[in-house]
Amino acid sequence: MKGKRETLDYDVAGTPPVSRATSRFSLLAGGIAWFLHLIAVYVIGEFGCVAGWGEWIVGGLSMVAWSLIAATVLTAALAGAAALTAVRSRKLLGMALGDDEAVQVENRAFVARLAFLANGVFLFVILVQAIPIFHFLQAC
Amino acid sequence: MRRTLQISGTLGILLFLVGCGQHVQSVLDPQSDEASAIADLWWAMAIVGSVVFVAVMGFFFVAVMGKDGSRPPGGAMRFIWAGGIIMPAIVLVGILFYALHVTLRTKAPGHILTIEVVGHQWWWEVRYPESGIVTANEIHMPAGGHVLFKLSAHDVVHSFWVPNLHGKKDMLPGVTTTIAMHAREPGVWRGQCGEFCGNQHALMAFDLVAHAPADFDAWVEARQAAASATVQEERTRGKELFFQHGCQNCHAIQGTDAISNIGPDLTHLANRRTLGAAATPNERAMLAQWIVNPRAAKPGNNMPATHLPQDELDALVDYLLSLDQRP
Amino acid sequence: MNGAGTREERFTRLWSAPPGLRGWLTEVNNQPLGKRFMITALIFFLLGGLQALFLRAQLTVSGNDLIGPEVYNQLFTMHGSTMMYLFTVPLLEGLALYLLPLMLGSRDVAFPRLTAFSYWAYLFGGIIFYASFLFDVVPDAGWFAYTPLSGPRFSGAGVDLWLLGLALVEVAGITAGIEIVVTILKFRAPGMSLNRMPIFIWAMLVAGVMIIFAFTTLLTATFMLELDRAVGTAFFDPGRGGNTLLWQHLFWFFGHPEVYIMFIPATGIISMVVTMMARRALVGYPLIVTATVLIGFISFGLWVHHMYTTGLPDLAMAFFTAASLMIGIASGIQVFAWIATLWGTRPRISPQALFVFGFLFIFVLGGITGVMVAVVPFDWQVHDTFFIVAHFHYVLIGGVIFPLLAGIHYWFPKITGRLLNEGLGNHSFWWIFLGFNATFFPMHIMGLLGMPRRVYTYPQELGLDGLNILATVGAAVMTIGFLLFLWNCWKALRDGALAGDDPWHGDSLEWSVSSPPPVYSFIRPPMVRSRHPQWISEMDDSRDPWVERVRDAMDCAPMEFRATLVTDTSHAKPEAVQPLPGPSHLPLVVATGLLLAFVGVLMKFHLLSIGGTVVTIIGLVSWLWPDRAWIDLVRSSGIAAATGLPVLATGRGSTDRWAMLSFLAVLATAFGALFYTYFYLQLFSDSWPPDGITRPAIVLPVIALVLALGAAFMAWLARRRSDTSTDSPMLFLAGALVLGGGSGVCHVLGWTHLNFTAVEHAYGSVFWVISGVLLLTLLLALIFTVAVITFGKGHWDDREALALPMELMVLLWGGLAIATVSVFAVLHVSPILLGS
Repeated sequence: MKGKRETLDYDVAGTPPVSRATSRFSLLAGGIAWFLHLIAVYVIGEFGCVAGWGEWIVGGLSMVAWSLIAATVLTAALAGAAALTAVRSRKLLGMALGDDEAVQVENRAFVARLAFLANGVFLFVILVQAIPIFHFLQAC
Repeated sequence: MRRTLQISGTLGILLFLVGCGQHVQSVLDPQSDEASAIADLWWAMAIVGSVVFVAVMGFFFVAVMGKDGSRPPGGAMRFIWAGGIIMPAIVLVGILFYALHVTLRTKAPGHILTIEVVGHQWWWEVRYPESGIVTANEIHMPAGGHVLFKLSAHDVVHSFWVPNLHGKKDMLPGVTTTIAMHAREPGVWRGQCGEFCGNQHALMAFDLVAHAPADFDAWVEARQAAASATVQEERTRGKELFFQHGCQNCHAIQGTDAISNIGPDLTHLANRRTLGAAATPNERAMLAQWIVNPRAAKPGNNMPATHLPQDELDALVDYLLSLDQRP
Repeated sequence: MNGAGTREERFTRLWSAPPGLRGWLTEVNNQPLGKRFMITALIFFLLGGLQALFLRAQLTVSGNDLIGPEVYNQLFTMHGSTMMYLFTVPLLEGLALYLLPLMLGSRDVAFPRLTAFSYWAYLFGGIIFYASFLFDVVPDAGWFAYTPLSGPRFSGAGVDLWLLGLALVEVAGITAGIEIVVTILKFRAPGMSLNRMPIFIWAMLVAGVMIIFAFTTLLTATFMLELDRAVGTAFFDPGRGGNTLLWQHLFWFFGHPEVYIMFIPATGIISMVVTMMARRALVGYPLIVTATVLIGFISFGLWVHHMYTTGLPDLAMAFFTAASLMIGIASGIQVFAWIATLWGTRPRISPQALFVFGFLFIFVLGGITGVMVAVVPFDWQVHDTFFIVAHFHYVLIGGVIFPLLAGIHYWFPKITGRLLNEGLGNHSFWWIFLGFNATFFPMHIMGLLGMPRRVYTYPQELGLDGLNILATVGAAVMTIGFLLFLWNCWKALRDGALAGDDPWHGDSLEWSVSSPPPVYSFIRPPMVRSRHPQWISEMDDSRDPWVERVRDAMDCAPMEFRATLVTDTSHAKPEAVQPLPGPSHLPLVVATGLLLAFVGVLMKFHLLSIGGTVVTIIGLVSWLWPDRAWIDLVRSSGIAAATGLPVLATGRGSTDRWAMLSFLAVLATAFGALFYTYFYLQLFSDSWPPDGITRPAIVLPVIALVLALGAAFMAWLARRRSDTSTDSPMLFLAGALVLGGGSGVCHVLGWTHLNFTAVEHAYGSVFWVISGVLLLTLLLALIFTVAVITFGKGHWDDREALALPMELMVLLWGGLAIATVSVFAVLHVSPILLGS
């Protein structure tokens, strides 16, 4: 056991290295990105196909494929940004975190870890869900 | 534990035997390229799934039976990452690629014939738009080429399913769905309604007969001959009874005044293999019983009973069985 | 008001309902109500199980005529509906409502009267379902009630009973979901930050959020279908512009998350029992939490995989295959984390350990077949066959009932104070486990051999008799197992060994109180310093002196009213003291009003419907009406001074704010479902608005929109005035009323110019329903404003008492403003942009 610093449970001196807003963003953005991606691919895949975007070819690819690729890139970027934020938060909090720490810091560190894992998986899921696009580039 | 193993072993053997049999309504006896691709997909997934299952249960038993204080291979966290994230990710992405590949393989490049099938509670209306043939509860098609089925429903949702040839496709009111099927060889398979459609969902089946192409052409030609032409003189009493008892209110017979579409078309009824959407075999005694008490063989079905004296019944059955045009 | 006795006795009296029938009817405490939920659910389980036995008996051999198609269809409908709606979710909700305060370290759940309402609504819904047997109109369109089979043309009054019973159960589910979420967010013991919550709590949090969104979608869909049946709207009638697939989309948008709403709490139970078996901390806690959250999200992206055979575009279906497969990763994480936790711990064989083993065995198999059916071409073959029946019984019995049985063996001693007999428990496990596999494993093969679901008979030529006989024998074996389990419970209740506080050396807070626990759960709020407060108990005091002061002040206090601590949502820092209501007859009154209204609809007895609605509204208004006497009692108690925390909290510290936010989430979900309906119908329509219907004029809707925004602004100004000065905000409140009322008048005037009704085309149906729901929301905001005026009149200087009603009113007006804008955009702007 290292020597205990005199820390209190809640009343941390100074501002925590990661703000509440950053913490919230990194926790939720990946899931929201995934959800937006789902909505986008569903709307484009079902509504777009029924509305005839499949026959609208631009640069060798149908409009359906183009808009799906755009939706994937945008949402993957959002999930990726959230994951990077989480990584950065973990670093900052890792420096602040002793082995006997205030609840707030410990909790933010946990949230950062959770956010990193969740965003990583959401990013992976978004990319996996993009695989079908390349199988059906022309068709609906 | 031994009992569990014995039971799973027995079931495994059973599964193997089942896979080798001949079945008229089976996913495991594929008779077309599409059904074969899907059956292969099943066997591949079954093998991968079994390996995964045995591995996970193996880990579990080693974990709880193993030495006190032992640790998972590679340490706990690495074990979770490898087994719970990386392994499933690889297997599942592999399955996804295989699934997409099979989906593309089940797309027919074109078709040689179109057949319209309309689902009714609880029977199948079958139309050949190119030759004008209308029949019911029995589908004839040529073996070899792809046939495009245009599916719709008259009342509620039904589903068109001939497992030996392809997966199912729903029949929806107000929408037309399509599925292209083929049979590699001539043969007879059973189709079944695949979506719950009310009281007699269970007895809503049909026979699908794939002919050699020449035989199919002969079948079409025979069907195109009007039914009434075949009615002999002594059957006219049966025909009168047909109209007298109101059968024409629901049924059609081509070449006569009976044109209603509420019940199955009866043109060439005598050639059909079954009655009541494959509820019973089409035999004289069954046909007579069907007229007098349709709900004996198919409870809940929508056809009303017709009470008539024995001699009239005989005459009516004689007439119906004369609706016969063999190729 | 609490005469003599020791401190503890007086405190117990404060938290108990009065004796006798009146007390039973007015009970609001989470423990008795949680038990009532669970017992009622178990009774429904027995009924559902009995129905299953009839189904199995009928299918034993081909051509069997034990029960005909009619009864068979009724029984499978009731079996599915009972197990999905009346048993599993309510049992889990009951377990959660009972356990949450004990595991979180609070004294009750967030909204005690809502607990009671939820129970009554659930009970009445179940009674409506089962009343169908008395009147011989048993629903027979399946638990999924696909249109048009469930529509007015093809089914009878049974489906009305089904829909209205279901609506009550859904309302019960949504309220319980809100309760669970807010309790977990706000009622955690000081120090129980997110990273210290037991996994069961995480699971219930995710499931609770899912309930709010999923059940609201179903509630909206059932409402639309009942309108089709009762009023003649055309949502699902393809002849009048409706769409049958629309029901399937809405139903499965609920139906798939529903599976995980049952499964996620079950994994939470498994995590608790595995920790107990291994006698050490769960390995990979953050990974398990990630997996739980992931399943919660992704389960909303799977609904199309129930619709692969309906002819959707291949591309759209492929996305859902990909999403469905990803669930495999989340499940993989959990399974491997449990195995890693158990590794090398040589757990003792006990019934709960056996059920965990049974769960793993069966659930892994069910998960593997789940991956298979997520694959589009394979699903084309096995969709709606016995393969699916096998798959989801593996997932639901193996994945939910086995964990529940493990959980019951684990928590039974806590709830009753008695230990279950382990020998009998082990026996019941083996009967259930072997019987289960004998029943359901053959069904995989039956499905592949061409046996469709929902058939009362099958021809002999398919060669399915042998497998079916095996399945029926298995069902009998399983039944013996469940009877042994019930016998075990009965015996334990009568003369089981005393359990003591902590028979398993559990790690979470519920094991720190007596068994059965006191009705107030904790006499002194516990402090949580780790993820396993019971294992590391030497550190159970806070290092912050002020937190200790709060805990001391709350020790057996307050005595005048029920109250518990409110803490921060993320790191559980004490924020406020939440007073909680005592026994009340209002929940029963409101639920009864709803029941009467629904019975009136069923009997086409409109006077009764109107009467029931009036009772409901009066009950709700008096329930929510701010009570000055109560506020004065709370303020005068001295608990605020002793703890240094507010008793009339606003903002994040107020549970009422979370309730309002949850209500707005429910409203948003309902609007979302209706907007989806609107665009879905438009997509499959040749012209929009359809031929013969002129596009509604835009002038009056624009005025209504502007007035609604103005009213919301006025409400905001009123709150600002009341926050910053003691002047009367009456002017602004009156302004909100006038502008809001004007907005309503413009809506209604706009309707008089429409040349279509809700019945001739689905466009009219969806237009009128969206407009109607908006007007109801507006009325609600107006009533709320009237309530605030009545409450505040003459007391405008009492800013403390006024703050919360003002805050809630502004939230409601804000929600209304957003709703008005989006309704305007959908109904009036989108046809200009997208119409043809």
